[in-house]
Amino acid sequence: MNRDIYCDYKKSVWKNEWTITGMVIFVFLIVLPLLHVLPGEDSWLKVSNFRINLLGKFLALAIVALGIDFIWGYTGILSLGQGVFFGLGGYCMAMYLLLKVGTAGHYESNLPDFMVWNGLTELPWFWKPMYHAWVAIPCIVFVPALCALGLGYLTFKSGVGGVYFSIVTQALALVLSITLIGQQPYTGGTNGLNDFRSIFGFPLRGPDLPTTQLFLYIVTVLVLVGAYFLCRWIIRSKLGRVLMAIRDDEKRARFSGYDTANFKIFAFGLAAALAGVGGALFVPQAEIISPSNVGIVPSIEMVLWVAVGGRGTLVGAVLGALLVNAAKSGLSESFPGIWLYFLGALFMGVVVFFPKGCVGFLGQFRSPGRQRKNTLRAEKVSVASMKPPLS
Amino acid sequence: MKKTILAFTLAVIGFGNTVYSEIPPGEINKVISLLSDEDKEVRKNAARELGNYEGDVRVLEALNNSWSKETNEEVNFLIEIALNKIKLSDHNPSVRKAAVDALGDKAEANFALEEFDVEGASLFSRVVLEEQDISGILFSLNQAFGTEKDRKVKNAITEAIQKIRLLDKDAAVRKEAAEFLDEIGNPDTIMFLGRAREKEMDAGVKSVLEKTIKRIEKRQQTSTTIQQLFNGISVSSIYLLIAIGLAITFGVMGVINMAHGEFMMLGCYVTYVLHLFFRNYISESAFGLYFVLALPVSFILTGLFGWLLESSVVRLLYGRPLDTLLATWGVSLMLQQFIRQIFGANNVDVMSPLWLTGGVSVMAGLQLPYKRLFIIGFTAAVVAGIYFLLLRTRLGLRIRAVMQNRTMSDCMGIPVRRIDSFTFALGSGLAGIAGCNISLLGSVGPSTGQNYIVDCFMVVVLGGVGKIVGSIAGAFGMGGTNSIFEFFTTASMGKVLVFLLVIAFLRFRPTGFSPAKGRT
Repeated sequence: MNRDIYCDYKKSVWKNEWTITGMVIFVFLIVLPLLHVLPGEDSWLKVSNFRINLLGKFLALAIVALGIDFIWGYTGILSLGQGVFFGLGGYCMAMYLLLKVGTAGHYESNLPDFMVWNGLTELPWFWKPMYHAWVAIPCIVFVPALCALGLGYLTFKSGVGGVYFSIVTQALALVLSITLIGQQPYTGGTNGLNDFRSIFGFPLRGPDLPTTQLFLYIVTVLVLVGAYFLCRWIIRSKLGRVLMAIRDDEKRARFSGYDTANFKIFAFGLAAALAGVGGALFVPQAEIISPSNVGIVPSIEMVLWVAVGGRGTLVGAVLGALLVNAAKSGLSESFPGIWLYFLGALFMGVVVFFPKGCVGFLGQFRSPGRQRKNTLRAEKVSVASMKPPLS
Repeated sequence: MKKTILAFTLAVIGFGNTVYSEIPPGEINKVISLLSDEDKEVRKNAARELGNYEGDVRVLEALNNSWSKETNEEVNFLIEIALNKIKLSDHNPSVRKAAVDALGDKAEANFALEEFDVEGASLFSRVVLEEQDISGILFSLNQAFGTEKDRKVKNAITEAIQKIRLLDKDAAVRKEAAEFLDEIGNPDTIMFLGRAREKEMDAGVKSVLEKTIKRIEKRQQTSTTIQQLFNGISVSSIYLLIAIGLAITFGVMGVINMAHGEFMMLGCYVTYVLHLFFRNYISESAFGLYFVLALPVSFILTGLFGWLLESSVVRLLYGRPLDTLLATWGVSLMLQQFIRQIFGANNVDVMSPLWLTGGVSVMAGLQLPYKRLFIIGFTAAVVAGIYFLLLRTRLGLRIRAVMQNRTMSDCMGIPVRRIDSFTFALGSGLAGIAGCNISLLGSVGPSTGQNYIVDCFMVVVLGGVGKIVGSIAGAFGMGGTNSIFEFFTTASMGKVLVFLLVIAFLRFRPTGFSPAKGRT
């Protein structure tokens, strides 16, 4: 009985995903850049620089969402600290970009402007290796991943899971934002790191900026597609099956002979690496990273993207990140008072009424019977994840 | 330069004295008019003279007026002394004490001047007091000492007198004064004593001074230790007060209520509104009562709100704790925005009731504020109340039964749904009452709740879920380590270190201090 539901569900989801995936990649990688380059300035088809840049940022955030979906939707672990890994990746990138400014800064010093302003005379040790791209770029992936592996080791190995893990990761988000704000001479404080000049020789200001932005956009799309297929490959492999087994019933998975803690640590590390990459791609497009991108609030918003899109489907994660961020940039600028109500209602509404998000909602119209079974499944998942930690 | 001024003023003293002796008591007006004389020496002497008319309102007014007009530093200095001398007979003890302290400081400023060269002296005052001024101050202080009733002011007078006597030319007097100050041992005098030690030539006096300074330093260390200990207990009790509501909703019911912090914030604002109401519509004498009223009102209001939340949202999400977490986070965002729109984004201040201002002086320089003591006591009472409710009442029995085995309780006829609602409302109400107490400690704003919520969840996790005694241990563990780390680093780094320590601790004790027994 159970197996039937599982296979049924699997088939339907994969079929959905193939069609949607193909279309989405085509639109984002070919149609949109063409619409950006080809039509004249005032054509209604024209996709402006602003929109390309905005979309690029959202797609960078979608990479983070993929990681969250991987760990939450597929492994059943809710991390409220993805902002930490996003921030670590982003700060690594920002440090590299700032050091590349060289003596062109306001104070014409070797040090970044904010360090001069804070009275530092020498570059702190952890900034020094960031001069080199071949250190900075691996750091984007490995610093968040190693942090996640460390935290995962401390928690999963001793059986801390479920909501306890969520709370611990949330505390971690608070820790990072407090540290970043408190250590202003080394991290730029509340203002964060900004005022970059160029990235790999492409200017980040001046008349050539749109070209750089288009370039960054395309890189982001490619990385997102790569991340998507990586996640998809892992999920379809035996490893992915084990992860889903852990989500559905961790105890049973362990009794079947799997060391579930190691699998969870791996999933957490991968999610963190994806968040770091997302952060690194976000920074040159947003041209700033600050503690307000890494704290508790942004971290939990990241989870909302996945919840809105539909957890347990990779397309849903990407879709959710795009939808929520589009709504945010639309609503929060024109109606800042309403935005928070909307966000709060979204949190409640999605969780209570659409636990499977947009993708689940759309799928409902195609096969009502299946949807019912999936809901049953979703309830079972949650029951499994509510168990207190094993001592 | 200094010497010429001295010589000049000495020459005029004769004139001053004649003014003093010749004025009949009724002719205050004439002296007051001298305050606006063209000759500054005349003005100085007038100021000296007026200092003797204690308790005369006209004199006080005239001195105040001329003080604001006067441009000459020396005359101003003397006017200030005269003002403070008059204030010695004020009916308010705190004004009297301030006057005593000011007189002592004025004399000391003069003393410091003698020590340093002219540039150094400018740090204190460029005015040289004359012998007669110092003795005048001493005389007034002695007189005030005789009539003074207030113990604090009396101590301050003794201290000021001894401080002035420590400037005496006679080494024996200085030694006596030093011994007196040693006995008083006020940490505030340590700077002054240090300066006196630098200047002192006489070996005997110097050794007394050195002994005094050492003793005061040692005493200061003790008082810092006690202060830190008290801070630790105080912070822990605040953590505990907020976390105890969480321990019930999270620990007992297994519901993660991210809006707990916002319930606390609602409690703060209930207190704020009541305090505004009492200030504007109720007589001043009853103002202190607002806090007594705010405690139950905030408990009931936030409890009702919690009941509403439970029966509308949380009820749908039992067994899905991660989803509850997200949904209640949504509630917390909306509550924050709601408060922000009504009361504005800025923090508001709640005026503490009069009976909670001030504190207990344990030793010199160490005061334990009543507010903090009240919170510690209140927390203890709440914890005792919760224990009584859970362990000694029928309702508590039912709550524990539902917590242990929901299905079986249902079969036994316990109204499970109602118990759920009640338990959640109780937890929320405790958050409100915690907010009421938090508003005593400083200004509150829409994001007050968020500042505490993570700490309190960590307290519950550290303590171990499911048992209230665990939360008590967790609160004291976190509060204690927090104040230790804060002492050695900064406030923010202290918090960071505590969190990292808790995470590391969970590696070894994943279930916290007090693991829930039974099958999991």
